[in-house]
Amino acid sequence: MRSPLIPEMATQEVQLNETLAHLKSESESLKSKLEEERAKLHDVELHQVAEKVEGLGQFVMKTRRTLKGHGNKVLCMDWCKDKRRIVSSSQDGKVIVWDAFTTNKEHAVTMPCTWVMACAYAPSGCAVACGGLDNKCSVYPLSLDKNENLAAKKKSVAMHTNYLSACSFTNSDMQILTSSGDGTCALWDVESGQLLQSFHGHAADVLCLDLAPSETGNTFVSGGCDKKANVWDMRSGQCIQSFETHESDINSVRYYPSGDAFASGSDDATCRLYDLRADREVAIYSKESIIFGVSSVDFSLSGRLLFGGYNDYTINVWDVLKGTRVSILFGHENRVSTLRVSPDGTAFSTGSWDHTLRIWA
Amino acid sequence: MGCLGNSKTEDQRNEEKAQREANKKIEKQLQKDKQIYRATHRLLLLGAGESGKSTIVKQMRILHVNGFNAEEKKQKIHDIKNNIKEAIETIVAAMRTLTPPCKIACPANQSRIEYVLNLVSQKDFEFTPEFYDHTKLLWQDDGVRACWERSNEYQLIDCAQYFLDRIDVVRQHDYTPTDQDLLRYKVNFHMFDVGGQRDERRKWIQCFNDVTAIIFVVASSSYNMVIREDNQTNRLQEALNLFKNIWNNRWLRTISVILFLNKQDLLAEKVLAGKSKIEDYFPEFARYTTPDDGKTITGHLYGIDHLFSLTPGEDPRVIRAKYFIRDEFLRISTASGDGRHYCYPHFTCAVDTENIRRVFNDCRDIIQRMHLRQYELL
Repeated sequence: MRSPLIPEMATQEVQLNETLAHLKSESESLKSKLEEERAKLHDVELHQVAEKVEGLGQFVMKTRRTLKGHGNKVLCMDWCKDKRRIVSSSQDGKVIVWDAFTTNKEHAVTMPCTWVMACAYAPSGCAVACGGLDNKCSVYPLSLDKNENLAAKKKSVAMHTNYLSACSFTNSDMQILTSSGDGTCALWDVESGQLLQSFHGHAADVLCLDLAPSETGNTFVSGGCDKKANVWDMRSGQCIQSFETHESDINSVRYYPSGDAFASGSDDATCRLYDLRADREVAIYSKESIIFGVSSVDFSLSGRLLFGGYNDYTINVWDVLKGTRVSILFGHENRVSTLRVSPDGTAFSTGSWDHTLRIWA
Repeated sequence: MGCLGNSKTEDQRNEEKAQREANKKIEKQLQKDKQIYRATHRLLLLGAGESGKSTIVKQMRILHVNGFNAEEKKQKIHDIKNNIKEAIETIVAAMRTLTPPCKIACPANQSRIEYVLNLVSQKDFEFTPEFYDHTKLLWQDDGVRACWERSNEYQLIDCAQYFLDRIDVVRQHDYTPTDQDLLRYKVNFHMFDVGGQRDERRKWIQCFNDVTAIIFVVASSSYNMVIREDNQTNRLQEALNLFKNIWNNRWLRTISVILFLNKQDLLAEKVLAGKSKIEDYFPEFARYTTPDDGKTITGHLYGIDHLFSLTPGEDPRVIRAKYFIRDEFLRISTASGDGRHYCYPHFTCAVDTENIRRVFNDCRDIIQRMHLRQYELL
């Protein structure tokens, strides 16, 4: 379709195209060189080392509670540090705080924009954050006075140019970390709503994030539609490590309890383990029979088990060291969209497109 | 589950009681909200840039402002009567599809049930005394009432009870709606404009896999313009590509699309001016002939042909142009779909509020049909 009128422009164009092609091939060769270097340090597979480890015993876990009340797909949930309360959000705009043990609902907020995609509990247990297609992250203080209208006290904290895919408080109630469909992550001050740091590097929607468990809390990992998992330094805003081995969107990332590794779950139907010190992927958790994407992953308290919520309505439990599947759990009647292990590791909770949440133990 | 026997203190028992009460209170509110949520039609509004999407949203909003003059009150009578018809049709259809199904209390009313079920497929319905008599007697039947009481298990318009109770008033020739009547008649549409999201659609579009319909807006007059993003791609072609994308999206396979072929006034102007020929951009136009009765691919679908009443005195060149553009979209929608979703095209001109009102009412009918079709197929 293009027909430049001036001959000089034609030559210029040809030159530009050549430079572009040259740069592309240079970038590809650099990538393969990096892989070569990484491979040189790779001496043994994880599961080989794990052969010496004792196998796991019989695995019995089932649904202990079913939390009903949401009117549409549950997309996200989070545990409170008190190990008992849960906040969940669904696509009908409802954000509900539950007592997971008694199944009593303690608070319910209706979001003005019904398409809520993410929610998080504040470390103090006194507030919840949520957001979605409104491109914002809002914080609601949880009042002890049951008659108070929670919606009135809402604080708008984050502003992105695209949907909010995930949010998480840092070590305190004062700061919130968000990821968005606009390809960036951002750190915000809750009180003022000010942007403290932004993280650019993903080439497509960022779908998930997780903060490193260390007390100083200086890094976090994010996963996106560009199949990359990036590790970021929160103070400088720099991407310090990047991993690109998945074959499709990364829907969930979660740090290993020690903070030296993290797991990811993807639409390519696999979960993978990445070691930060070895700077490489060290394990893939997959089976030929599993063809549906993973929506959400989390580790058990010790890190020996990896729980994955799948789009085929099941939960697969993996032995992290040996790489084998320990158990498959049924119960939900539609996609499992979110999965979190409780802070004391005694149970885990799942949310699903079937409008319910389940507590498993 | 918290049963500690006699070792619970008075305080603990009181606290547990308070928690259970708080829970009940929240559940009650959630239940109420759920009913409103189920009765609301959620629509996803899509369209390429400068398709006239935002003007349509503004027009839709104007329709909801409650400033009704005498003229508008008269117009609302037809809508109120339609509400009664819709209400009784929905309740009667639900009687057989609920689990467990509802049985009619008085056997003599069985023929009335059949009458109402036949109404659904009738094209040119008129509100006869027969209709009102059947409806009133059905509304008094205990079996039908029982089904109405379970309306939280299906979708029923809010004002069903209000107007069914007032059939005798509404059927009068000189009926004029009171302010109370007009407040009851509230169509709950929630339109969502995804203007703020990027073209990488595959993640956020999953949120909309259960909306009532997608409203897709196209600027018909932009057949000779290019999109801003690359200054190359033809705008109408871009709209066709976007439509194809949406139509074949795996998450939207059961969602019907209401297609607004917008900017008809500008299209007519361009065609009549003759400076910019459609065949220069869409060579197939040279071979295109207007279907002589307006019925083409979708002629057999739900009597859609009656929606395209020709504006008297419309120039045949304009007719040919607008039907060509419409058929370009229908070619995509009829190529796939397996009867799970349909495309409902309308010629619109956003600046003209009357046109929008007509189309808006058609949409309500279409959406209601979609729901009834769901129940009949269940």
